[in-house]
Amino acid sequence: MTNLIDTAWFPRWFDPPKAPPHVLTVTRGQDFVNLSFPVLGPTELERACTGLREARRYLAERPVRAIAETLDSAAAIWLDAERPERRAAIHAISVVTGFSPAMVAHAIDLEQRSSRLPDLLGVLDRELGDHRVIDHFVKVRGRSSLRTTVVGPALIGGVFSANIPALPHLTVLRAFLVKAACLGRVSRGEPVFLAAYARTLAALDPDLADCLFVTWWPPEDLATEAVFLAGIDHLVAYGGDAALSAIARRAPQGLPATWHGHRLGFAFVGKPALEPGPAFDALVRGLAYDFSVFDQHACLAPQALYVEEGGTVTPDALARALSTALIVLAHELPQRHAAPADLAKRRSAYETVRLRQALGEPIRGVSPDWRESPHLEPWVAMTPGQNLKPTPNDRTAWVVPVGSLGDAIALLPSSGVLQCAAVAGITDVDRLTLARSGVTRLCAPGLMGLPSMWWAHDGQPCLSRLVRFCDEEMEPP
Amino acid sequence: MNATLSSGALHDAVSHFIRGGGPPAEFDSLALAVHAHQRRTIVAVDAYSAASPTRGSGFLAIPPLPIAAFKLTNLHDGAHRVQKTFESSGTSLESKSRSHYSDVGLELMGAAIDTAAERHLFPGGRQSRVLVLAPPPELAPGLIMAWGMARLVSRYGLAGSDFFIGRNGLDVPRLLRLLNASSTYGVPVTLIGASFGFVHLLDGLAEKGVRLSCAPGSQSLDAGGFKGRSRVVTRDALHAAIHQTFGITRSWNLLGLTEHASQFYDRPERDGETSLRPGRVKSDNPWTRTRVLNPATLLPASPGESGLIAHWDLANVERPMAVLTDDLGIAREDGYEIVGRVNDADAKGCSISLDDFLTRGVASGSSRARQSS
Repeated sequence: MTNLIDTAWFPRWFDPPKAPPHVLTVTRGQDFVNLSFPVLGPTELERACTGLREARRYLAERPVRAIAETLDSAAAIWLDAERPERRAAIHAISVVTGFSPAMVAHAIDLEQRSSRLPDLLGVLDRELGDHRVIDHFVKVRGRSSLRTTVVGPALIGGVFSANIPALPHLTVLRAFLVKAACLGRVSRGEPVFLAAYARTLAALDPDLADCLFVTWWPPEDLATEAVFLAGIDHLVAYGGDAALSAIARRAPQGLPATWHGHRLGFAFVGKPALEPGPAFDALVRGLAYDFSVFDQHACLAPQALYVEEGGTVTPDALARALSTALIVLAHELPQRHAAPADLAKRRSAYETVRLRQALGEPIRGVSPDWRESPHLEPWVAMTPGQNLKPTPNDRTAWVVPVGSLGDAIALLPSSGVLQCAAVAGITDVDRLTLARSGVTRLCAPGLMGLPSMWWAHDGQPCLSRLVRFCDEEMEPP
Repeated sequence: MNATLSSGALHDAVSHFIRGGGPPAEFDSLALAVHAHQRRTIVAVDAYSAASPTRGSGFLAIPPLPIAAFKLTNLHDGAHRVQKTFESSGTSLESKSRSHYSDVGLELMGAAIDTAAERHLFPGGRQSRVLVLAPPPELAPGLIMAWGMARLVSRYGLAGSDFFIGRNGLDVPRLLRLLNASSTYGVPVTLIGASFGFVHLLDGLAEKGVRLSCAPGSQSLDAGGFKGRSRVVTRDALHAAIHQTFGITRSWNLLGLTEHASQFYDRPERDGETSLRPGRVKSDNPWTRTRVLNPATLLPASPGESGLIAHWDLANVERPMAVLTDDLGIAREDGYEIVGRVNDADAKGCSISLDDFLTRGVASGSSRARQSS
């Protein structure tokens, strides 16, 4: 069969399953790909877990810098626009997910740009004090009589989602940086990238690739999932809240886990930034990028733009400028293919806004009317008093005029779903207020979708939470 | 049909149409008369209609009101005093859908329930022992499903018919006694309730290894789906489990909404001389029209295409009769299937995975109704 994409990666030590893979043809317009999904059961998964623990010895003996250098080389390969594996992955991921090829390429670039050597070692230094601590005992800065080393788990399990193309490799990087093997279960919605990335690693360092296993099993195959959950030492899971809580209920009690579930982001522009000029134009372009990147399907994406009233540029004028900038940007980064479910979600929200407007609420569409376009055009609406809550996504911006930052904060949810905020025209005190209100990442407009490897994801350290320290104290206190 | 009929005259005309049937062409004129009445009496209907383009003729000329309207504003026509308010699920007042009924509105809903039940469950008004896996109306006064099931018990229930969810949950021993009696004495039962209630019961009975053989002619009706539930069971799996545990081969699914006085059953198919069995698609009652609308155009989708489901329901004389739901459906030649729903609460930044969509599409089947959860 032509155009067959293997979604699995099996290490050399693993005897492939006897059962033939399940082949699924995905079509998108005139285009299609055939996806080959492995058919593995509990027995094979158990073998995988045992084999990965064995293979991991290679990691234990390899200096972390050498591991990071291989990962850096893999990033360089994936950043090379001419590489056939990259082109093939962009095509396949675009067909499977509906993201435009340009957006998939952009996603790969963003993910791999933050996967270079200085960042890989840098994040270890940030979280562990010194990256060499993962290799051997190192003196702790500030106390010469104290040495420490860290030990990572033997096996990290990853459960991945499909909302950002090429994201799952991040979990592999983090696992390898703490010298853990990794067993990843890809999403049926984007099963392409991780196995392709594993093949790159295998070409660079086959022993390293032997510490990675990429597979898939159906959501209803709880027996295989149970073996997976029982066989790993730490779970990293991405997905919807319902999916994550279902996994949490089935996971063995006490299994350490990192959950990346539902999060909400927003942007706030204060009066000082609302002065016409080049800086304001750049601000608008940045906001448009934030609402557009990954078609707003990332947890990092803003759902609303809060604009302080009283600036030279009014909230209405900013909303109009944003609407125009979104349309312009769509030429460079075209929108996702609109599935009926996406259009239905947008239509439902759109008609509700029209209804509320008809009822006399001070709410109104800013973008051109939507009568019968089959595309998910960018959509900006003024929604005064709007609490921060999910939009229908796909480049929907709800612009909310507010009297002050405090008024915007009053519209934020109080639970722990807050994540990223793009801010402009505010003070450091304001930034501290936002941090204390639950925001876990602040950035300038235009950077919401571009976190670095150094980011404390969801406000938590990413590597130090995976490891345990072993201190050696040589003097009494 | 006079487009300026009073509310009372409209109730009479619709009630007559529901009970006695009428030429299909009469549906359009009644629908337009009801809509004209609602434009005069319900602000949201008038405001939204005025702001909406005309997208068809006959009943399709009536723009279906987004279902969120039931959460945003009072949608009663005010012609008769409100006697009862049903509410959908929702964790806050803001997210609750509210439907108001006067006495005449309740009467009309009763007519719709009776006529639909006789077209599907109880042909010719045949009675059955109706056992309900839901709380009675006195325990769940805001639950429209409880009201409807009480109506079925009172109209079509033989002695012993009852509700089996009380203050202390499901009364399994009492239910089993009646089910055993059904098989012993050959009394057909109609087991009805929320889909998730069935799952709970079936889980419990499976654990104990309970298997029953209900009398021939027994049937089940589940309503509602698995919205917000930790576990999703496909329609086929649920009906297979009902067959395995109770020996019931005829399992119906019902789509009911707090916002509509009418309910939507599986299309009935002839099953022998006097019986009916559920088909694979949902179909309309003579007094309702359902269309899967292409979300890009809000025009009816062609068979095989998916989109948003809208209902035009004559039994909603005093509430908006045309409603654009947030259910996703697929248009079929002879009806429609429900495949999921659009839900703001599901649209979560990081959490949208196509995997979720695929799973939901498969798992939701056609069994859901807000009123059950």
